Amino acid sequence: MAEHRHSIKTPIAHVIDVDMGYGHSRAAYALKDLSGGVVTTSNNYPGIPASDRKTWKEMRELYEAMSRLHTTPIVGGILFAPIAKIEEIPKFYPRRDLSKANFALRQAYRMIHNGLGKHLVRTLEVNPLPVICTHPVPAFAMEVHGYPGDIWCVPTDADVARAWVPMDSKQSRIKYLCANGRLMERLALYGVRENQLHLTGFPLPKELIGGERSTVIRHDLLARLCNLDPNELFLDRHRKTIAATLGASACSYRKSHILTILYAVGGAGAQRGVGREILKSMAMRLKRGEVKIRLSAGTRSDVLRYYQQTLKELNIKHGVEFIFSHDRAEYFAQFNHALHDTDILWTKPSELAFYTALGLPIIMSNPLGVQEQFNATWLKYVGGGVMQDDVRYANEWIFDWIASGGLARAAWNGLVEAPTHGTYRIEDLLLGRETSLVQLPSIV
Amino acid sequence: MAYHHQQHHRKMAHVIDVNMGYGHARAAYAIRDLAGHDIVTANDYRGIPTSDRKFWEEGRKIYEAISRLKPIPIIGDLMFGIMDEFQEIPPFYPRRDLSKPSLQLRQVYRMIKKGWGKHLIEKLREDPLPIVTTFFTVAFMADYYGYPGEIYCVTTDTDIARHWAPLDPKNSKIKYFAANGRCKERLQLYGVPENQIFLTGFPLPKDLIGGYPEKVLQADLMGRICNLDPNGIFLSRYAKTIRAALGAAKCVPKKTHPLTLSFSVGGAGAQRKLGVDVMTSLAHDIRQHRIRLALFAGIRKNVADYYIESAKELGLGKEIGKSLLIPVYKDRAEYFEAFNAFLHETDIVMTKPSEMSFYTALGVPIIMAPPIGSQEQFNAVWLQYIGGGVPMSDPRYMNEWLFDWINSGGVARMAWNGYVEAPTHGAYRIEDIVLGRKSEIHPLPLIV
Repeated sequence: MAEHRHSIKTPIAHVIDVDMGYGHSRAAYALKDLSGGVVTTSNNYPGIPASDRKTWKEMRELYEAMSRLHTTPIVGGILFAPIAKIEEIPKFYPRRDLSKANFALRQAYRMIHNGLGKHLVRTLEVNPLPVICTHPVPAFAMEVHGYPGDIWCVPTDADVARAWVPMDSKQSRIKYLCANGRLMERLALYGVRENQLHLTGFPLPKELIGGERSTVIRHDLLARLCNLDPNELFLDRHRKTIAATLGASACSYRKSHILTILYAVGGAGAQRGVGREILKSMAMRLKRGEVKIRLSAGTRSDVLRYYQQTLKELNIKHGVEFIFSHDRAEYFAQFNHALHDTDILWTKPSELAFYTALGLPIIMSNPLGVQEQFNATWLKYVGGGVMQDDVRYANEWIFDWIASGGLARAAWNGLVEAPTHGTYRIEDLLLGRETSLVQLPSIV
Repeated sequence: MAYHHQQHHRKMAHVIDVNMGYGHARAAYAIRDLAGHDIVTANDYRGIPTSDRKFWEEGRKIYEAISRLKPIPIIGDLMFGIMDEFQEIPPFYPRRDLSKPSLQLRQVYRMIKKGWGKHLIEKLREDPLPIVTTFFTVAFMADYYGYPGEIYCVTTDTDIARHWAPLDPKNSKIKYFAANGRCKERLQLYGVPENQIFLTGFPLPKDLIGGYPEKVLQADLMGRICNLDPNGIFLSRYAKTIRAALGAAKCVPKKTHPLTLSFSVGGAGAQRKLGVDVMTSLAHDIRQHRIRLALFAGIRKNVADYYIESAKELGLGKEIGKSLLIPVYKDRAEYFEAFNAFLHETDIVMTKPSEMSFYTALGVPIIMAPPIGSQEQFNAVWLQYIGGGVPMSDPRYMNEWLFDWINSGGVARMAWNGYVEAPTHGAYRIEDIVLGRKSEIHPLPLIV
């Protein structure tokens, strides 16, 4: 792909997300070069009709309520049960026809037939470039309301519910850009025709990859392995492979930054309590300058305030940084920049699970929702992530894991096993050019 | 370390196991060279006093009865939960003093004080060679009755309950061979002095390793990877590493053996039904000779008969002895010997995460049946941390997911992870320590 330039000057697609959690927007942000840096947010774009805004607002409120419910013990489970049924992902085996539409999907189509998304379609069809939607509803709306250009959809989890695929999946012209092999197979069970499915990998930020040869990843990973493998156990076992992949200089680590852990909450701000527990557990190590904690509050000022208050309570004055912006694009930019010298990403297994492909080991907090359970399984299968232990004693087990070389191994597994170049493959597809990137195997 | 190839026909130690499940016996079998192949079974040796036999029998019967009850919904879980409570392994974090003896441990010592095991120790005292036992009670007996030789105890799980360490660990002379780093650390929390714990790794059969470096293992592993990576996905990603370690990263066209899965149930036979589920799901693939299934019933003829009957019902009678193997053995030694020999041409082991978890170090990927007991839950976590094993999916659809996993190269990766990450040379390290000779084998890192 050396001859393929990925610095796209003029927009060649409309990239469309939804402001609902971070997953849809994070994927869109990575693809923003395709649309000249502009991401159209279907529930919050200039000129959105009041009725559309209202419908989306209701959907978003439901989403956030669900996310918070997940973290409420017992009561959350009981209240969540009927909703869980709606978003259920059926068992994969035995392979069978799963194309029958479910309640959530029928409900979405009802809203679209009532006009949801029509204004957006009419707005975009003035310049009928291909659309890339990171949420299924805008993609359905494009089809129902007759958008003239190509319609692409990027599912944002490792396995998805039936609601990601149109009512009449076999006849639909929506094309899917799949993050992993299981997802592709799942969409086929939902009835999507094979020629509409493209296995690309999840779109990750190009600024963290560095082209086909992953020059940025190599640089970042080398420094990361230094922090994650202080006893060189991992290096000792994989010296030849590491040298071959990262260059001969990788045979000796060079420390460039203090051990850094980034804890990220989701868009609903649920699980902020985990961040507090991390701070409590790491307080002494922070004071001794042994670790840096980055707390990602996203766009939520309430979460930021909560963390600031916690720092005061614990009298922690050093070693903690925040990632926060009222503006989503600015938040993603900050977040991505911070990942360069982050050694461990601690998050629920959301779309961030895919970030292990950047050579990041992931410590998973409890999954919220069935799709995150699938992400967790995928992450474990890939070997890029592990479930958190008791957060109250993180100051012990994280350092045990590091001392054993286990987190260095997770970083490596993520890089080797998970697809890294999703964004580049998607760009090649949209530009209609043959990619010189390796074809991804259909990893389960 | 050429001398590690030799077999010791002279007795250099008393190797002592118990006949209770296979875990303790399997570990002892791997280090039988130390005993000149003369393993003493503490609950079934010649001349065992009736009273001692009775003590042992009660414990064993309870264990096996409850293990058999386990698959029964509600009641089985309840009974097993109660038993498990006694054997509970407390959370590791935060690190703290866990030396306070458990109820079970105090009970064991009460029985020893009443004379349990005295006869065995007196008998061994006649030739006070080092004792290497794979069951903690025997070590306690030797310690309590003032055995003059060294007393070594081999741990047989990746994490262990308080009753593996003596009542007064700080004043005991028992030394431990820890199967992994977590075991070593755990023993320290239980109060065992650090200088009495050797991190050796679980003793694996030397026949399957081939010394240091592990030539037999490497040859077997390459053949296995070729079967487990039909699309070459794993090989393409790890070619450099594999070439460096095994000297080749290409599969010769001719297969050394058909794709083979060995299903191994525990001694209590609690999972025999699962074996039939597996056979049912794979029936078509067995008939097509796409896979060879070996159902190991150990020494339990009734389990083997059950498998054979089920195979016939499934129309697989003609495949028995070909693509479907259902061997049964007259005693444990014969079973271990044959099982180990068959591992040379086994590609996947399906087992509950018992002591068999450690076999991933031989480059064998493990598909885990549900764990029974808290120590097996720890084994399962360890196995996943190592990357050498994965919990089974729905056994009814194994014909789908197994081949999906194989086709993705994931099972080959597990084989490799096990080889690279899990300790292989436990038996050799144990021999070196017992024989008091300097080991050329690299020390193990403290992998959690």
